[in-house]
Amino acid sequence: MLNIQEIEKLARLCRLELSAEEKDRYAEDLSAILSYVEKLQEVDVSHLENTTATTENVLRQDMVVGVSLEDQKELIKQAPDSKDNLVKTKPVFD
Amino acid sequence: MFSYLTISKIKQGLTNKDFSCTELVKYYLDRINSLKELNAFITITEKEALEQAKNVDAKIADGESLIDLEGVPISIKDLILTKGIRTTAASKILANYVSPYDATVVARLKERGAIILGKNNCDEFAMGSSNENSAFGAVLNPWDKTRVPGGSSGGSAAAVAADECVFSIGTDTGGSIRQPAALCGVVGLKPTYGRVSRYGLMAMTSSLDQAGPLTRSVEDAALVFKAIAGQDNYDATTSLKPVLDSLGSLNKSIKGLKIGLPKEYFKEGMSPEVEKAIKEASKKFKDLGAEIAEVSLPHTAYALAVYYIIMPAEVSSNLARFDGIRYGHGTETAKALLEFYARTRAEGFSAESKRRIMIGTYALSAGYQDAYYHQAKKVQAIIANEYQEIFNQVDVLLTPTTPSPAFKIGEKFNDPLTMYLSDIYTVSANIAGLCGISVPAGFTENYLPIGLQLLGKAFDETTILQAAYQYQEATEWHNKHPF
Repeated sequence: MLNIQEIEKLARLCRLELSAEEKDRYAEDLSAILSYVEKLQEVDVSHLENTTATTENVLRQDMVVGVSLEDQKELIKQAPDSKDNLVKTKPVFD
Repeated sequence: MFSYLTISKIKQGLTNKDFSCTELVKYYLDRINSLKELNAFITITEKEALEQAKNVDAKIADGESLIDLEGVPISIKDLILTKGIRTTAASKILANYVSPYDATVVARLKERGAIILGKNNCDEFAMGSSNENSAFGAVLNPWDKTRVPGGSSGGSAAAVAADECVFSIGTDTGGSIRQPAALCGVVGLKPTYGRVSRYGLMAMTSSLDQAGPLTRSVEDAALVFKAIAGQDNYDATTSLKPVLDSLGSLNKSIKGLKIGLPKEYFKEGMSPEVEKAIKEASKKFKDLGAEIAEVSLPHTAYALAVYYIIMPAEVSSNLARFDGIRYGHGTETAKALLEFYARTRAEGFSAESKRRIMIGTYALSAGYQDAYYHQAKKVQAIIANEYQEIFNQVDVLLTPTTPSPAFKIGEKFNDPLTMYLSDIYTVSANIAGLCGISVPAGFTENYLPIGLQLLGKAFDETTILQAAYQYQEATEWHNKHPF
């Protein structure tokens, strides 16, 4: 069972603001899900390595592909806040 | 004249001038409008669709021949980018987002002349099995409006079942094409991972996501599959293997085809009506000349648990990009950056997204990564290996698509774990890297659709499509419609 402190720590790592009610609810939900997946511990995996990739790497030349000014403007327009064709963010410190 | 047309019927009708493309598109737009209550669409692109139809009509008038999907009215799950058209992922955080480019699947369909009618409702970021988890409201099942259409491609399945489009493109990470297809009585194909480009699909679980068609017939599924499959420079995980011609094989007899019934799929939790339908389907396959054998996949019981570690782990990473700075919703009330991120995400994500982000972060965090994430990846390898070996004995596996027919809206919404169990028969295909298809296989007493699932080995879509087509042609289920 996850406690409220653990939920708060997780929320911080996830960058999620949670209400008190949400913290209670997620503590309960997450605990139920974690106890369901607990059954994976029954499986003997001692013969396996940590790397279990099922797909092959596909490589290509590392090339710079330019973006037109028009496309750039289009992309920056998507930002909630922008100035002089630059994306604007909040200050790191209040 | 227009009801429940297939791709080939449309091509025939347009070429013979039985109807114009404008009339055809208007039929679907009217249909979408009169069935608004189902809530299968988030955005309707009426103007663009009518304009495109006019061009097709001009081409026909000039005596030009039409290319393969030209003039076919379709819809796209709102998780897939469509240039110049709003793409929301059914999330508040992207409610006003307009895609700056086309997903490769969309580009390929457009090149072949398909006409996009709009964007289908779905579970937020493809996370859900009922389409109740949408910021744009739940989708209703056309067969019974008090029930869910399944998810996450619920809007796609409902739209295809209710004839609001000819086909729709959905995505499937743990069953999100096949499960709603089963619950709405349509065909849903999940291609092998790497067969169809993921470029322009909003990433949920990058190692499992795959796009595919929801259609009203197996031959349409094969046609659409052919149009969208194949290597793509924009997705390094697409396979270089050539796409085989599955259309040419549909008509071939399945005499001698070895079909396995995995006994672990027929254990507790399955509704008796579903079990009966699958047993009858298995008899039908036998009548068609297939050899049926019971097989065992002992680690199947762990597939869902594997999924509920790997999926949220990747979700927590993939949804980290939604920080309110480059696109989407940004909160108005924060003063400093950290507060801005946390509040933007709190306001923009649904409860289910938050749940999965937290589970994934937990499974990847220091001290837990070995016990959860690495353990899950290892069990995934065991499961994948087990399926690979089974395909040395049989050509395809036959299972139910879902343990029960469509459930009531609200029935499982507040119980995430019970909701997750809806995917119990479909997740293995994603976990083991297989292809799978769901086809209509009967109805319950209350006239709710039941789906059967055929699983094939990696990159062997041809065989599951062939078996599905032969079954379809021997049954009448696909010709039944909700209204």
